Amino acid sequence: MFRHLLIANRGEVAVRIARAARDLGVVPIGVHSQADARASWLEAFEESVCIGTGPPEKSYLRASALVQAALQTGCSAVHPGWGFLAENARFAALCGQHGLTFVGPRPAVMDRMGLKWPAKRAMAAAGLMGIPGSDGILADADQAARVASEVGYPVLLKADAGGGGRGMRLCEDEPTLRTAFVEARTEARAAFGNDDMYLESYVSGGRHVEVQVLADARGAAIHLGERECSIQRNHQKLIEESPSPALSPTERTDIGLAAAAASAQVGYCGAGTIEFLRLPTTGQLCFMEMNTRLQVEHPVSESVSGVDIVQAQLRLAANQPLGLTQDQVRLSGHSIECRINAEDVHRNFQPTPGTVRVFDLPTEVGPGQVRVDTHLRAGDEVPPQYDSLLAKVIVHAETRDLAIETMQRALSGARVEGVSTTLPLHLAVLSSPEFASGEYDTSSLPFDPANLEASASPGTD
Amino acid sequence: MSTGEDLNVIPLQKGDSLCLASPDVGLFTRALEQGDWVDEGQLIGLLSRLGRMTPLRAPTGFAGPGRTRAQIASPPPERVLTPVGYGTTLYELVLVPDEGQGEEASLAPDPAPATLTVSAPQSGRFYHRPGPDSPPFLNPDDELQEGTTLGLIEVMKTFAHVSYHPGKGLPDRARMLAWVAEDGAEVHEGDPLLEFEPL
Repeated sequence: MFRHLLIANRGEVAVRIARAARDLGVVPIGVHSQADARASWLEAFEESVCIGTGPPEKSYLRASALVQAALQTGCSAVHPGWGFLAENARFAALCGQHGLTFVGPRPAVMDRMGLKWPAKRAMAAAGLMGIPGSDGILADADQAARVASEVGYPVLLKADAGGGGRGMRLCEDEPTLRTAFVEARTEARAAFGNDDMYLESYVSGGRHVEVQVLADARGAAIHLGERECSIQRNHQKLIEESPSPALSPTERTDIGLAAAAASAQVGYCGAGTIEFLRLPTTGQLCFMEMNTRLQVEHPVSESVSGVDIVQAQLRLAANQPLGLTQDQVRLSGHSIECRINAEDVHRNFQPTPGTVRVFDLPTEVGPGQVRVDTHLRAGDEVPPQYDSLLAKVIVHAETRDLAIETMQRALSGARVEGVSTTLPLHLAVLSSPEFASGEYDTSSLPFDPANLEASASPGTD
Repeated sequence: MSTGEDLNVIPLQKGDSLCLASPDVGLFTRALEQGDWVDEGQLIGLLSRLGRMTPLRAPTGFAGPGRTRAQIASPPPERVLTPVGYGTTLYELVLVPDEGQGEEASLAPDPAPATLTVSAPQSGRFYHRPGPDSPPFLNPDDELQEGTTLGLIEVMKTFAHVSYHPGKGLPDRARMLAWVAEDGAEVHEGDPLLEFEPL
């Protein structure tokens, strides 16, 4: 195992990785921008290196500064977290060139799987079919318009290196597509340092189901069940749960095994996620993309499987075998995660950076267990340069109904002051009949923002 | 050993004294001694980054013969290769007026021009154009009216349009004069973005 690990990220994920590292006896070394220099979460690290100024491209996206920081602090491995350089094969390669282990798949596999189009081709070869769309990267808006007219509007424009909805646009017609192409490109470049775009036919009303896989360097691969991520706003996941209420036990087994087999076939190593769109018409699961990194919603799978995915990532990166067969994976109970963001639900979800004056998310509520993953405490600053995730609340209970009840109690008791939060949105979704029934999809966020009452926002300003 | 561009260190004002800070992550070496004089543009050490040495130079415009002279007040680091981060202090300086020169350079600022400005609706990064390769939304002399897009503000990776809205002292129609906030600049809520005059 590694002695020192550089965590090339910030905030919640950096703290999560530091915890897993310490559990394995690995010393976590952090990095920070000047905007984060006084953040309390830097205490999670043994030491932290300032790598630049506030804008991401001047700090957290600077591959050479991150590698140099790892080298001069005696690290032998680098964990990229999610976002920033997590799916940047060049960064992974640069780590390798300087004798550092990148916690993730090999650069060549990342390149193929992290970029959406080659992944589609590789997965089709491994038996997972995709959604109709462009044959590779779009050169310009003209080509995008040609492809769109072939597959038919509406189309979904996507950043090849994308994730989390950044650089993604739904286009109903050609003028929208042409404008969106330029804007999405800009967004993708800012978020991922890569502005390659592709498009596919837009499926309205499907469900977003993804499978968590773990694979070792010896070619063994298992899955930890699926996550249902259809509660989204602007393609940003808000609530995730496992298991998916949409899948039958047979479908669950089949898609899990297919995902694990496909991962092994493409030479994947580490933790990864294969995303599927479940078509509303036939119920068929179409391959969308593979995320070659840790996902924000990984705690949901950890809860139902009992496997610490970040620890597993570090073990697999240290070339250890999986040590777990598919038969030994026991999925039990139901887990739900809510992402609490610093956004104003009453002002079109505008981000609300600022100082968190009160930050109290209770965990002792019952009937299930509550876990809170966060990097913040009262008095901390939420800087405007980065994404707005404040905390993730994860519950685990015997049944879905009990999990929903636990989450409602946890969120009702939450007190956050100083910044606006998405807590009212979560409470509205959780209490909706659509969510209770499990009959929802990506297009039917079961609530109307306009109907959110001020009284439904406990403890927020 | 040395490749690429030299780097200027960052001047930081700390109370009455001036510090020179590292412009990047790396191993700092070949430091000057306590008591040495530092002039602008002078080589003041090397920074090793990914095994390559980059010369570090004093920034321009802070000191030099005939104006203020800067002298190193801090001892050199104990290690030959000292790990530093972005903004780590490399030198503390004392500023001494150069004898025989009492010239005051600062003049009173120009009287404020009688132009109007649009200010930033929120803090973030301000962009003049929809994409790096696109033309700006506006150029000087362009007309502003209700709903004219002025630029984009990026907050937490989300882009929002900034538009012109008459009222609150802003005329119905106006003519753009100049940008105040540069393309890609970090702006705070209320900072002026551009100047214009009524039509």
